[in-house]
Amino acid sequence: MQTIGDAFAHDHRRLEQALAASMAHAGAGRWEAAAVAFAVFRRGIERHMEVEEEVLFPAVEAGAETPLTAILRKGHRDLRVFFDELDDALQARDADECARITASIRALLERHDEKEEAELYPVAQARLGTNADAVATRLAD
Amino acid sequence: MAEYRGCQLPEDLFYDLDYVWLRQGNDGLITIGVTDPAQTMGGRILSVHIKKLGAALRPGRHVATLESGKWVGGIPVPFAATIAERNEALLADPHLINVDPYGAGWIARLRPDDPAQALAGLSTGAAAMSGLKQWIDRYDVECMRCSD
Repeated sequence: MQTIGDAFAHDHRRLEQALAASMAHAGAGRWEAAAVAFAVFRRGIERHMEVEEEVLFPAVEAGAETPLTAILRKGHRDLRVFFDELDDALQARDADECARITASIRALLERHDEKEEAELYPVAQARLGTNADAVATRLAD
Repeated sequence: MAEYRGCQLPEDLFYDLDYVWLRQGNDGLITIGVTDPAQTMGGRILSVHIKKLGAALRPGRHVATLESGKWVGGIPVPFAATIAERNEALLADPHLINVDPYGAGWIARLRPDDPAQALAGLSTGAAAMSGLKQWIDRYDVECMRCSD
């Protein structure tokens, strides 16, 4: 059986690689490939955040938002603005802006992912118990 | 000035009830900065990036990005605007945001596309104080004053 922590941490690493692939294309001036790779990253991370927001956060909250889930929800909102800005920079083919925004996204994701892996997933695993495997499967739906 | 859980909350400013305060100037420009509870949540700010002078921003887009050892965040503009002035002193000393968030730590001055409506969706006065107190409780923030 796969734990929630294992499945979501693995997805974090997969998404980091997807973002890196997009920015490698951008850095080399392959703008169409960069846009395609960014769309793959964006679909993946939106799916990841959606499962957290629809399943993990409510399981941890048990009816009342906590400071932890409030901060993580805010992180998702902030990330979505950065993703929109990176999409704009890719369309404008602005390499400097792509690099700057990507650095902010990576820094934000590093801190956000650490918090989720240390504080959210263990509690969600305990609350969801035997349903954890089905939740992890939703990441790949 | 109101205070709640150690956080200073000026009643005369406008707020998006998240990170941002705004102050209307006599010259048609609107100054933007981050609130005392928001800078507290961010921790000691180590770097600030402010978008270029003249950059046009849509509502919700970031005028600046702040980074501390534990936090990275974008500062969104609540209305469409152009950047008319940047706080160059803040770029040299990002910690000003922690020391004086409503004064020397201002981020930029904005020229709104629609001056008549720019502040219409924001909160001020008693409604803002209530909303900011809810924000402080939601994120469990306790403000402390920085001395240096």
